[in-house]
Amino acid sequence: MAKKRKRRLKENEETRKNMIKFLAIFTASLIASYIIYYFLLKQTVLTSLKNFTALLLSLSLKAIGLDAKTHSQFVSVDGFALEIIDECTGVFSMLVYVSAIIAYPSKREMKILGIIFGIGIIYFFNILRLIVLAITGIKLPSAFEFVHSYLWQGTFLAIVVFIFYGWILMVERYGGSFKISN
Amino acid sequence: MEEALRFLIKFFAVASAIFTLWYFVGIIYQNFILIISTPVILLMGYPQNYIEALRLGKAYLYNFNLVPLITLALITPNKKRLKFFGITLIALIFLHVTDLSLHFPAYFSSSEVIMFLLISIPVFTNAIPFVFWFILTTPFKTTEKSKEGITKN
Repeated sequence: MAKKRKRRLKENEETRKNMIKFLAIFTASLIASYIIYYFLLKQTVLTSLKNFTALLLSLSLKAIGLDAKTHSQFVSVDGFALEIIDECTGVFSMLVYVSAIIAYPSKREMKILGIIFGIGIIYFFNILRLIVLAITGIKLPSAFEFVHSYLWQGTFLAIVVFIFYGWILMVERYGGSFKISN
Repeated sequence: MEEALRFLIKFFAVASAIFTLWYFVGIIYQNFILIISTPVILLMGYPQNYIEALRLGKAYLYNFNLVPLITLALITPNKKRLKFFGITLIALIFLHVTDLSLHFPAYFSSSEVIMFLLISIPVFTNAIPFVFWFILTTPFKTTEKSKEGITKN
């Protein structure tokens, strides 16, 4: 009985330690990646990424038969104009995702794979989101605000959770520290 | 992967319902944040008439990540979810108050430090519901494999 209690206490202690460790690494990574984004990427890579996103959106809209034009980070389609700002590139969700990957105990190769594929998938979903937004803006302008807000906060969190969940399942197969129990 | 897909479908169904509700009642939360922020803004030296002139519009649709948080709390079965939801909610309210309060110095005295802090807030409000979900779904127990040294952090 005493042995069992002692073991449970030890397990609880270990659980708490692991949780604090994850939170500490996650927070530190998030702050570090935000600093990198703000001071190094914002004026350089992000500007190119915004222009590229606008171009990609414009090409996608043209592919579905809409008359889209792009000028740097602006896209106009059938009299409806969109400006691609930092948030529109999905960069904030990417920072959260990358920090979670860094904080989760796994092999380095798994982390690298998770980051490369995860960022790619987040970006792909972001382009899909922008296409839906542009079509909403043209066809149903009154619903634009609703769709924009919903797709921005709700969907993006779900996508990040989904990709991270998928990655954890993959990590579990090859050895990971804390199994997810959903 | 089937589990992850089931999670995604559940998330969208519940989030859509909550978001529709939030579209109409979010203004109450926005006013609540404004009430809490008022003493902070006054303390920073901005007069009452500046606060009264504030037009927030439908800012609650953009900044307040309460919808995904409530959704995750509802669809994640866990005994401790109420406790963690409380802690997470306090953290989000703190960030929302900070966000609103920082808009004053950002607008009236465009300082680089304030802008740095202000832009960081959406990153953290995005992260908070995610961390909430992760803590609820993860037992944080070290598996035998990792004890053997297979995994490295």
